[in-house]
Amino acid sequence: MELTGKTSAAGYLSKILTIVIALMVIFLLAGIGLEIYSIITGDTATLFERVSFNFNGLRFNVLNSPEGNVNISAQFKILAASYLLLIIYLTANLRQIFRNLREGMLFYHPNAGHMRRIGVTVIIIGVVSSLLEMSSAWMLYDYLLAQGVDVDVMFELDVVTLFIGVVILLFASIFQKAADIAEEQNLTI
Amino acid sequence: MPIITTLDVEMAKNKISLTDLAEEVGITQANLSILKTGKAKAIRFTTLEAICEALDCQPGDILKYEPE
Repeated sequence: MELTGKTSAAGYLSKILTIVIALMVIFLLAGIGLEIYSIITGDTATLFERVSFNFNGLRFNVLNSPEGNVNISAQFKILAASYLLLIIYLTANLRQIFRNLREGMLFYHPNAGHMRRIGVTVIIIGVVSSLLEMSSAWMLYDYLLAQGVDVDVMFELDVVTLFIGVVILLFASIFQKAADIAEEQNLTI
Repeated sequence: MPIITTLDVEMAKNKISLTDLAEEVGITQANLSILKTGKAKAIRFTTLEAICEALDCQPGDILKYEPE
């Protein structure tokens, strides 16, 4: 199977990503709708009876806490929604690159632009995911404190994701130069 | 761009259309149009040779330098 062109892997990937984006948007809208419903009705019950968090490589499952279920904080909800929006934006840019590859447009200025946006988004995701983890740890902190367990919550920046974002930005600048060369080649008669 | 093409003048002198010239030179009509409208960034010597042969002219007849 070819990587670029009409019936290429890029073509199939762009279709798959379209479905993924649609599912993520539906999920996000459902979450926002549910939150608006909770605010209007005053029903503050959490969605899940069992909540689990990842923190520093450990997975905590919170079951039947004395106060009932662990309440999802507003801060966590905002961060989670932001995280999902960033993932949707990143996937949309990636899908556009695959669509351009399907049309045979590889070294093409818009592709460099999409790649640059992906790089910046990955860097922001690195920061947001770190904040999200800390926020989930704070929710768990109150629960553990109620159990008589003393824990420290620390902020740990996702350096690997930041590095990947910078590498993507570097590749974007290389693609920009390649697009310049390709354009010059196309306009050489 | 300081280098301008006067291809249309030579084409009119020879009473040849864009389509016929493109066929004679061996390039696409689209590419010849890019050259004629001054959008080209470079021209190969082989293409220049073919155009000069088709229009019976010198390179200087179709390329002019006008500083900005």
